[in-house]
Amino acid sequence: MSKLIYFTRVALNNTAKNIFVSLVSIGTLSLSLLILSAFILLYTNVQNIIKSSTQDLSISVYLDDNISQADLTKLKKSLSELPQTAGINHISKSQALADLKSRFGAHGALLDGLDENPLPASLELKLKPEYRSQNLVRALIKRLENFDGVIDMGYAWEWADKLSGLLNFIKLCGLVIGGLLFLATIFIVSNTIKLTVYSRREEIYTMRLIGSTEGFIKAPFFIEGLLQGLAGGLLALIALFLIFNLLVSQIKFPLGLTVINLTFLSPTAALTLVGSGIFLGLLGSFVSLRRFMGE
Amino acid sequence: MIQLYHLTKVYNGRKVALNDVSFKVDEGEFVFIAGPSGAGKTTLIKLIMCEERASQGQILVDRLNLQRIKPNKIPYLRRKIGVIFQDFKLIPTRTVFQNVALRLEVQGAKRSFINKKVRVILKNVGLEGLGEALPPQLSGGEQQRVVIARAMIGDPLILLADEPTGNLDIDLSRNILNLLLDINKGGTTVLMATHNQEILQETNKRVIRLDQGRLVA
Ligand SMILES: Nc1ncnc2c1ncn2[C@@H]1O[C@H](COP(=O)(O)OP(=O)(O)OP(=O)(O)O)[C@@H](O)[C@H]1O
Ligand SMILES: [Mg+2]
Repeated sequence: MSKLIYFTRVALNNTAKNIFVSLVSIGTLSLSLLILSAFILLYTNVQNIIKSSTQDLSISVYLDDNISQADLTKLKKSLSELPQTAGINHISKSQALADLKSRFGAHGALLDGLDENPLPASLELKLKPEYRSQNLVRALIKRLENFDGVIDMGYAWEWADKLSGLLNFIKLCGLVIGGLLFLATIFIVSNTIKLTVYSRREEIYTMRLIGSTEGFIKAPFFIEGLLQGLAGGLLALIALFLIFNLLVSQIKFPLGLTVINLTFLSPTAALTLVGSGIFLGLLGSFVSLRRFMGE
Repeated sequence: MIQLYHLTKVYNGRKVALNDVSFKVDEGEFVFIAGPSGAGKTTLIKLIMCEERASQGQILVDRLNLQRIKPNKIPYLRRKIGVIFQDFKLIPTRTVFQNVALRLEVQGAKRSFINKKVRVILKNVGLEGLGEALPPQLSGGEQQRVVIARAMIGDPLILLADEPTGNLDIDLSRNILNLLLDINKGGTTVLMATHNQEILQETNKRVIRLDQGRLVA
């Protein structure tokens, strides 16, 4: 314990002596972690949106205002006979308007001015989970289009489809940029440590001559790297949190999309972020000591 | 305590600093290593503390064969050997107290133990009240005594003194010689390298003479 305090004191001393370089090192570390975690945050949120929109396995079958009772009954019957169907819910024109109003929230009163209800009635077709696959849904939609009295089809997966493409793109960018930043960070941290090693090289040599083990000499440098990593990780986390909250409060969602819930990093992910900082710092020290202090 | 057999040290494959040197130093002995500049005195001390490796021959310190010692055992060998370096090797940014304490710190000694020991030893070498000074603020003789204090602390088995009276006047040199003789009386084996003839005449201790890397009778 007293050894740990001793090593930490030496590490802090070293940091203080090279304060400018140490700050640059911490800054780079936190900047690259910030960029990387921003990608992760974006990725998880897009993923969440896709998940929540595909959880509701339903297709809206919009009906012609003038559909005959006979056609409606026939349509309902054929839909319920489909193997994919888990249930059918009839949503009348007035029900549709009420739903829309509630989604508009505070702006709902705007709709009161309408002379006539412009929304179509619909049949909400709940699908069995095993028919979740997008290809099967597309095939089903092709078939439904030919029914009498059906004017349009809607399903939440339409744009989930597009987001999936985006998701892969975010992942790729995150991996490439993240990888490069990690390398750059290790390089910069290891150079900062190198500077300390260099400025203390005579002292280190003397310590060896008076009986110091390599571990005793190296421990403060590892702690220096660890502390820089910890500081960088925490800074990145705080910056990400502030930027996230700023964006969430600034973004105006288009009407009807306010249901999307943006979430910050989970506690585990936040800890991983700080942990990555520590890991990078230690790795930087390791690389530096391997290269500049081999005996 | 120290045994050398046909010890040869060649620097950079060209410069022969020690040439076929053999002798023994018994436990508790006080031995002078005498010889002119460039004779190989410092080289000999570096070999005994494992700062340099011998090119040929064998060297045993406290029954440890230094030609075969594992690198991770060297620190423990050096803890048994106090060295008064010719070039001091004091850390200029650390206080006198911290410089002396460092030798115990690297051995993982307790803070309270270190503080007590350092205070006593600084008093022994006559540096009371200078603990908080930085080495560059001290005179040559004072710095020399800091180095002696650091070499003595931790009660080493062996004390290697490389020109401990280097540039000091004769009174101060005698003073330091007496300090080393006292340490030797406490049981520590002392090897003192010097080219100072006056100092050699002060005692009747054994003298090993070197010239151009060779032992001379
Ligand atoms: N690291 C080195 N590389 C090459 N040559 C060296 C090295 N160290 C010492 N020498 C040479 O070896 C010879 C012996 O040097 P050494 O330092 O042992 O002498 P010394 O007896 O201690 O001299 P002095 O009384 O001046 O301190 C000298 O000629 C010196 O130039
Ligand atoms: Mg010398």
